[in-house]
Amino acid sequence: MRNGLSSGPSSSRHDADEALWAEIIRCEIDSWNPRRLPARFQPGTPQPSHRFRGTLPAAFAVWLILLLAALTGLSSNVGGVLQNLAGVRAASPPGTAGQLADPATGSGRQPSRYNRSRSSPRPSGLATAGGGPASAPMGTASAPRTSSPAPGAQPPLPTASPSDLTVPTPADFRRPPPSPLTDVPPSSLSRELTGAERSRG
Amino acid sequence: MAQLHGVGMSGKKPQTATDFELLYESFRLPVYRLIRGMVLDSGAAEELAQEAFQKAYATRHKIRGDLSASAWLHGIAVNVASSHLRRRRVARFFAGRPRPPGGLEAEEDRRQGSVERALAALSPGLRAVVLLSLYAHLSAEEVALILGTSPETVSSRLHAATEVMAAALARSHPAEAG
Repeated sequence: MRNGLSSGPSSSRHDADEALWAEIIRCEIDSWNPRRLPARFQPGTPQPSHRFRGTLPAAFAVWLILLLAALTGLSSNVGGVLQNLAGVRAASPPGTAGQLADPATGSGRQPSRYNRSRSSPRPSGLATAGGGPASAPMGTASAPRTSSPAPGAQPPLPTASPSDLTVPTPADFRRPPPSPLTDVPPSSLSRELTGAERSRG
Repeated sequence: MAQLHGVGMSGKKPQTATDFELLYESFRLPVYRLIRGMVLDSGAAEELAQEAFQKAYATRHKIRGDLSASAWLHGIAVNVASSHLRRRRVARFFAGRPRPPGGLEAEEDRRQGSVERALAALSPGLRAVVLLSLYAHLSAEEVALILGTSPETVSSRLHAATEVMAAALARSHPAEAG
């Protein structure tokens, strides 16, 4: 190599090695001849399309879609966890972690039949958001989700043990409320009343 | 490599189309061979050589004053080949396969000569140093300008590259090496 940067016996050996390599490389590379490269230059001809230019955008698009799908799934999971955590925080006032108050009566409540019947293997030390079916209809979980109690609300009395309480899932909120006895249509009530009067008469 | 030194268009800046045609005639084969030595693929090297000349033609008015026409053209060729290698690496990464088991490239591997195998053992950066220094016979200063590094780095890389190539040849021809 013609750089003149090194000196000494080792550099002369390197120079000899490089000269030998240069000769070897020249001998082989000079035998490479193109098949289709034109002998005359044609300016302005479109540049050849490379085989990777077509596949790269498609592959990148597939990767982007997969990445977005993964991120969406992740964010929905995180959202669910945060939703549950927000429900737990709203249901447990400061200083009474895991205990639940009945917003209507101000007293604590026993674990509802609904929650007791759910024997799913989820953590039992968490509180139920929304007060359960005894105090509020299902699907009205927005009121107890405030982070601080209402100014006029009575302080909650702890009665239920944390181990009996469970965390509601979004599927729980979608369930229809249990139909009370007053759900009987008025027409059928009137029919029953008239029938009773007839039998009395 | 007489075409690159003092003969033809090696020192003249190609300002006109006629100048560039002369440059093309002088450097058509050296540029193709340099690119083929970089990408180790004859078919791709022909396309890339045309691309390199098109780029050189488009930027022929922007030749740096400290570079000869030969060094300028070889620099463009190395850049085009390096871009191709990067695209190929990304495409293989996305395709999920490092190298096709059969096909054109495997066939080329079988037909590779000793020098091609030795070059294949080098990284693209070392390959560029070897080809620019030992094949295009550019000085360390010119190679350093092309690659954006110092002449000392070029010298040390060249030394490292010759050792790697010697080891690769020893592996492929153990009897000759022993």
